[in-house]
Amino acid sequence: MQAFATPEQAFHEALKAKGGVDLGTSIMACRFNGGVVCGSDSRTSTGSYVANRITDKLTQLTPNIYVCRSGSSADTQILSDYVRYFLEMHSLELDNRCSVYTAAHMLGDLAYQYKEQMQTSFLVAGVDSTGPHIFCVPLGSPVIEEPWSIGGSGSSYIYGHCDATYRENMTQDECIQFVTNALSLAMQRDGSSGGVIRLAVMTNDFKVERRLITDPPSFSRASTACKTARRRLGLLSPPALSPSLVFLPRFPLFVVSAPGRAARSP
Amino acid sequence: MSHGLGSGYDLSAGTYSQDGRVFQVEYAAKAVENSGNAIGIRGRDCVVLGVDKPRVSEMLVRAAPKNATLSQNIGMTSAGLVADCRTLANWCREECRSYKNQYHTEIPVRVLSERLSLEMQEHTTTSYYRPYGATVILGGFDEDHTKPQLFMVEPSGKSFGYRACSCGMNQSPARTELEKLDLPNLGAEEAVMTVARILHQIHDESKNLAFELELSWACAATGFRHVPVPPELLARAEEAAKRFLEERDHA
Repeated sequence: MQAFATPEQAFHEALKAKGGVDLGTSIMACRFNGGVVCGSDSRTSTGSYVANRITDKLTQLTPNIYVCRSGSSADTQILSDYVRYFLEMHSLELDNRCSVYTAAHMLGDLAYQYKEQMQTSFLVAGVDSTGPHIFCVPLGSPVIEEPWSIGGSGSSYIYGHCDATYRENMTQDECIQFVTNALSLAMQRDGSSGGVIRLAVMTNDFKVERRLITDPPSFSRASTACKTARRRLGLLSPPALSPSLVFLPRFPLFVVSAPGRAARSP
Repeated sequence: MSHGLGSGYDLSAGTYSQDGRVFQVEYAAKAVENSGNAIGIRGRDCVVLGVDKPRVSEMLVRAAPKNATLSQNIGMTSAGLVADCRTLANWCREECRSYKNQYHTEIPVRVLSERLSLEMQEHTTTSYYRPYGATVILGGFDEDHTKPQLFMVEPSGKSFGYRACSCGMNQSPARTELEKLDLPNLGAEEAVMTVARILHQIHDESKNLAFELELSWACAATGFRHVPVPPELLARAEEAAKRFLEERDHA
């Protein structure tokens, strides 16, 4: 066993060996004709180990601005916490909603300041007095406005899909479908993305709706087969069935026995 | 120490008088009342700032500028101790810069006026500061360019938004004139003419001091930037003001 001078050193060595707690991620944001939708998968991994399968990678910075986080989990959490605090003070002084541009730049400035120590990549999405906006703040901290944007390790699998599918002036439902489909595709191909899809829908009347999609649509044959198996095990809710089939028993995954029962049985 | 109620309580801004006043602050306001006049008006889609600069010496080539541009869209004019005014102008410029650096948007005029008023109020609370002997008028546009903004900050730290405001030696007669105006319908050029007229009108003829007029504005014609009024328009406005005074004297 290697001896470490301090507990901190031991922790850092362990982290280095595991590669840190990362948001191997698929995140996405897209504008529609009356607002903006952002979404993410829910997997947080430490190397190949899934540290959390129901992570919320969408963080609310102000009532009208969300940020999708990717990169190091700790780094992005601390930066978005700081920015949330700064923006709250800012909007109190403004006596108004602060702009998405300000939020994005604030994240960018902090990420740039600590670029030697941090690994962060953000999508900032929200609605302000000038309408819906999406800003991409990737690794080197440029701030780029885009009509739609994807990020995280899963994004490289779906650039083609998004380029081919995106249309201007989508309706809210079309946009939600676009984001859901794209994220599902990324989550199926990317090993470090997965779990459920989390969405935040912000509309021009400054309303915010969170959605959870526990059963993302599947597209490939392999994933369909995998899904069928999981459904049989009771991990997924059943698809819409005809009434006569609804009451069929489903197999439980684990049989939980009461303690002591096994000892009593012959 | 002199005699009478309240005497001896005016030596520091950190001391109240027995009836609850801070004399140092009132002296600062006096300093403003001993100086030239400054006027700001907010018209339909414009802000005009004007100040009269007494010609202190016949040998002076030209008085130093008194209106200052603080950020692209915000200007200020002031009355009081000239050196204090300049210090405050630089303080405001610094504040505009740091705001933009932090938030990547131009500072709204209201926010600047609130921050300036905090700075000035701070100088009324402690014995090791002297209150600023200056009243500052801030005018301009916010980044969305929708509405002209005008604020005045006094030595006590009081700050209010105005349609039109005045400070300096003849602030009361100036206010009387300003109250007669139909401000919401005043166009930019018309506002320049008005400010020039009022500054000439309230000038104390009996003291027979020569003075120089300085006007600056922000409006659609200037791209909402705060800039000095062009010399040609300034000359025209002064001419019209003098003509107005002559006609008034004849009548």
